[in-house]
This record gives sequence, structure tokens and C-alpha cells, in this order.
Amino acid sequence: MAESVGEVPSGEKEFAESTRRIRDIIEFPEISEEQFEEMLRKASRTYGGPLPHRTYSLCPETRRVVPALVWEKDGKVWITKRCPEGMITDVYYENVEQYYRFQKWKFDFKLKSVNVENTGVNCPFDCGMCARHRSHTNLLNIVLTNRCNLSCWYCFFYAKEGQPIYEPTLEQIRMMLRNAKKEYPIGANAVQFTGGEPTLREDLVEIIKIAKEEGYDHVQLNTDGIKLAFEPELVKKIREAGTNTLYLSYDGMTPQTNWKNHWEIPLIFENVRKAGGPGIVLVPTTIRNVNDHELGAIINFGLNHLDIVRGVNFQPISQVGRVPKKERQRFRITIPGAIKRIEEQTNGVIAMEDWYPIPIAGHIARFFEAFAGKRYYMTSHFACGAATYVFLDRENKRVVPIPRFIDVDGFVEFLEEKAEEIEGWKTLGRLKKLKLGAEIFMKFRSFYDEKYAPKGLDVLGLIKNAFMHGNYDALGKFHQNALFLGMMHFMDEYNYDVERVERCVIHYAMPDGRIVPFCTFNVIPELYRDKVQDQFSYTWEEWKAMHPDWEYQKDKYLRTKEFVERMKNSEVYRKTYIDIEDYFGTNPGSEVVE
Amino acid sequence: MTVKPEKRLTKLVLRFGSIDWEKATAKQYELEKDERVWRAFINGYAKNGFVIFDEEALPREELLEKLSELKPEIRKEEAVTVGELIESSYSWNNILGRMES
Repeated sequence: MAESVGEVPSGEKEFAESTRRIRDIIEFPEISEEQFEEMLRKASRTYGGPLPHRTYSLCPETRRVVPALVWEKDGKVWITKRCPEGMITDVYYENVEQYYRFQKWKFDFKLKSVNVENTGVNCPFDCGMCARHRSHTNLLNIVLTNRCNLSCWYCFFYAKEGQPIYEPTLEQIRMMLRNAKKEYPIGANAVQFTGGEPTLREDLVEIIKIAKEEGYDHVQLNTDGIKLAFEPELVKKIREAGTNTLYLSYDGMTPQTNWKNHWEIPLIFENVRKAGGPGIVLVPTTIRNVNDHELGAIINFGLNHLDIVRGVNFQPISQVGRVPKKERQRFRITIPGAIKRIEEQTNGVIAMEDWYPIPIAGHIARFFEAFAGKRYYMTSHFACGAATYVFLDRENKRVVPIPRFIDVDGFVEFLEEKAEEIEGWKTLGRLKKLKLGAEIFMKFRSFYDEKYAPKGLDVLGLIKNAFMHGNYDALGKFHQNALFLGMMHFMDEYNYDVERVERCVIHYAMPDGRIVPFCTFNVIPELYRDKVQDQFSYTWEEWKAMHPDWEYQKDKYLRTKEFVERMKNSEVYRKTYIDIEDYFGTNPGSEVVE
Repeated sequence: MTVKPEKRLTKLVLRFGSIDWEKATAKQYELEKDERVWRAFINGYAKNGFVIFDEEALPREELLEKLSELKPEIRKEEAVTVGELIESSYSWNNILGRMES
């Protein structure tokens, strides 16, 4: 088996081996220009309209913005556009039923502060938060460095030897944080520090403290975790400084599918346990024919480490750059495709209908704004993400997704009715609020089915405390037994939908004063990520002069043969990967190499 | 070298004689791709726009040549520093809600 041992891991060998075998490909349908024009004429135009639906997209070669058609064929949803380089089709959503089920939960929010003096009419080429944007920043990303300890073969972003180094100053970081915090009417409350590899920054602890000073309740690090595996003190320090979550790359169950940190994960987990946190969210970049056969196993793995793992957030691959059709057919997977595999690989324990789109949170937020005055609207496009919670019934070794014992649709619709009612009232006094809380609690019972609820979880108590006493302490217990499961499908040139980007909730702050959506920052790097970082970078010589003791090679992680051998025979490795429960009856840990 | 806040930029406010949305988006992309251009907005509907650029690196003639097919006319000219541009971009300096209330 090809493996990155005795070298800086790049994943090239592992990927070549993984992709030798093709299990399935997606056949893209053909569509003539006449059919395209005909459908485009008849297509719905308002957000969330029925298929076929007209939107705008990007041409991969010429980078033009062109009208695009989102349409259905053979139970799947496709996106087609006519570019100067020809007709281009890609899969948008692998299940039309899921598309319509999610579409029902669309929700828009109007952002009323901007960074650029334009109308967004050339979206996505005139970006910064603008008058056209329809979500506030839910999660702010700040790139701390383009230095990295790995050398991923597909990554164009990290600094190679001799290239400029991008590393914003503490003052720039503070201003980027403040910029998103002061968005009107709702400021950002969660920040993710990313890279490169953010743990390479010597002043990381100070940066985390700055985020806390600027009022961010949630701080997470997007990391490969390598440094955290070998520096237990660093884990302790970042936790004490206020890091809530490690957003940890984790692409599979074997050294081949997870070449980045398979051997280091047991040490990372051990160090996090010793430090009492931060919580971990595993992040598998999900690729058809590469690791899509391991999604159930990854969830099972998370459930086995529920004391430190808070969630698994799958990211279906975004094929940025020029990618031939054959490769897209081979590697593309969409949210319904990944969900379907999870259903298959968990023996139906986590099914298609257990998932909800992100903007359902907008409907819930509307109620909480009316009821408690608390505002945080997660209003991404319904096709961008999906989520659910699963509970672990330890007593019966049973995994129960939340919709199995709570009628989510019914309860959210009820909350929305209530929100509408409250919005009509002039005032909401304490007594009225208490009465309303009691009414909601009583009504909640009709949406709750105790028979299917996991044992040892007092859902009714939690709801009672939240609605009647405004006390959310019980949520801690909820999280101890629950695993968050998410899907976030970032776009690329081939499935780019401007309607999605103008509702994006995951943003990047740039040092030039702008905040831009994830899928403009990364999909059009020549206008945003790369351009702005070039403007604010240090040349190699300047960087070396500023850091005379720094050496490029010292940043890099060399995985030695001896280390791998030691890990293979270690107790901590066995405890992490081998001696684990199989909660789905599919023996998902069986592919782990001993 | 990383840019200094006191670096001077030029802002040209423009009117276009020959433009539509398609031409505008294409030109917007072309301008924004240039590292010497700090901000640009070409409005194909209102037929106006502006470009903020580093005139030391990008001579005005070269910029106007890039824009020539849109038949640009300079309506106003301002000097702005990188620091001022950044400051003017911050959320708290651009609240639309206040305009509504």
C-alpha cells in the first residue's frame, strides 16, 4: 500500500492508489442549445421557485457570468450553462425529492451593512458584503498564515519555498474580527482561524485571546492537528485561551484515505482528553470513488469518541480550477449522494429524512428573536448545507437521530406560527412570556415521542427549562450524548450558483476591509484570496530578514517510519481505532489497518 | 513588501458612453484581476462606475486604454490612501439601516 512515510505527507501516492478502482461514475445528461434556451425562457426566477429554475453561474475558462439553468432529469438536479467554451453541465443535487424537501425551508435575511460602495450588480465579481447579500456572517474565517506543515499535492495555496509569506499582523486580525462583529443588524459571533496551518503561528494564543476580547463566543481552529499531536502543552494553552472547537481534517478510516493525520489522530485525541478540550469536529472532505465508502464508519468512529468529538461535518468535494468532465463524473458527490451513502452504510439508522437544510434554523431564529430577543439567523441557500443530530443511547447501544422522536417539521411550523403571533403583539411582558413558554412546553409534548427517545436524555426537562425559565444549562447534557452531523458543499466553477453565493453564511475577512463569501474567496482566487494576499504578503527575503531563525523545512512535518511503527504497536492506537464499538452493525472499523 | 497604509491611490469616478451588463461584468473581472487595481465597480445599467488604483504602478493612460471600449469619461478624481480605503470599508461606516430610519 502506498503511503506517505519517511517524507512530508502530500497524499499524491495515496490518491493515485485510491483512484485506481472506480466504483461508479455519474453520467451527465446531454442538452441541446435549443432545449436549453426553451427551458430558460420558461424557468422560474425567484429564489426557491420550481424547476426548471433560472440563475447565474460562472464559466470555468473565460470567467464570464452567464445565465444558468437548474433542472431535473431522471430524479437528479442538474445545472447547465452556455459558456463561450461550450455547453457545460454538472450535477447540482443527486436527489430531486431531497431538493424540494429542503427548498421548503428557504429563509432570507437582509444584511444592512456593507463593505463596498456598489449594488452587487456584477456579483460575484464586485464582492465585499454588499447591498445584495442576504445573510449575515455566521462563521467568519481569517487566514492566519499561508505556511503549512504538509505539502498536499492538490493545494495551490500554501507557500512553497521562495514564495511570498502571507501573515496578517495582530492589529490587522483585530480589525478583521471587529469588521464582522459590527455587521448590522447582527454581528458575527463565531470565528474560525485557518491557513495554511494556523498552529504554525507562534502568537496563536494571543490571537485567540484577541478574538475573545472582540466579543466572539465561539473560536475554532481549522487544523490538520499535527502540531497538537506532539505538543500537549499547546493544546492546553489554546484551550485555556478560549478555543472552543478544533475543526479537524479527517478524511477516512485508513492511512490511505486519511493520509493527512491517520497516525497522529490517537495522540491528538489523547492530548485533547488530557487538556479537557477543545471539542473536536471531524471534517471529511468527501470524494466519490475515494472515501465515500467510509462515511458510516467515520460517524461510528465519532460516536466512539463522544467525550471529545462533538460532530462530523462532511464536505463534498469542491473541484476548483479547470477540471475535465471525466474527472468531475468520477469524483463529484453532492449532499444527497453523501446522505444516501450514510443511510446505506449505517444500515438505515441515519436515513435521508433525518437530515434538514441549514436555513430551517432561520425559521427557529425568527421565533427566538420574537420570544427572547436573541438574534442569529443561519440563512444559507437551502442547497448549501444539511444537518442533523444523532443521540447515543449507551445503555442499549442504539443510535437515534433527533427526527425519530421529535416531529421537527411540526414543531418548527408551530414555532413559526407563534413567532407571527408574538410579532403582532405590542409588548411581551414577563407574565405573558411565562404563559407563552408554558403553552409551548405543553404543546411540545404532542411533537415528542418518548417511545423512540434515547434513554437517559431528559428532552422534556430541557425544553421546559429553555422555554419557561430561559435556562439553557441542560444543553450541556444534550451535547454530551449527541453527535452533530453536518454537510457543507462548497461550490466550484462547474456548479456555481450566484443565488447560493449571495446567501452565503461562511465568510472570509480580508485585510483590505472587505468580508467576502467562502465561494467567492476560494473559487475566484485571482480576484480575492490570492490577489489580496499578494498585496499584503512579505517577499521571501523580507520574511527571512524579519525572522532570522526561521527555516522553511522546520515548518514541515516529516512522518518517520519509526513513528508509524511505534504507533501501530501502541495501546493508544488500539484504543482509538481497533477496540471500538460497532453501533451500526456493519463492522465499520474492519478496514482499519493493524 | 506588504502594503503600507499611507500608500496613495487614485480614485476615478467615471461615466460610460457604450456599455451594457455583459460588457460591464467582463470589464469588472478584467480590472479586478489586476493587482494594481484596488477596487472597481462598473455599472452596466446606470452606465457609471469608479476605479481605485495604484497610479504609480498602473499609469492612468493604461487604465483608460483598458476601458476604452466602454467610452469612459472622467467625472471626478480623488486621492485616497490604502488606510483610508480600508477604514471606509468597515461595516460600522456603511450601515444602510440608518439611512432607512
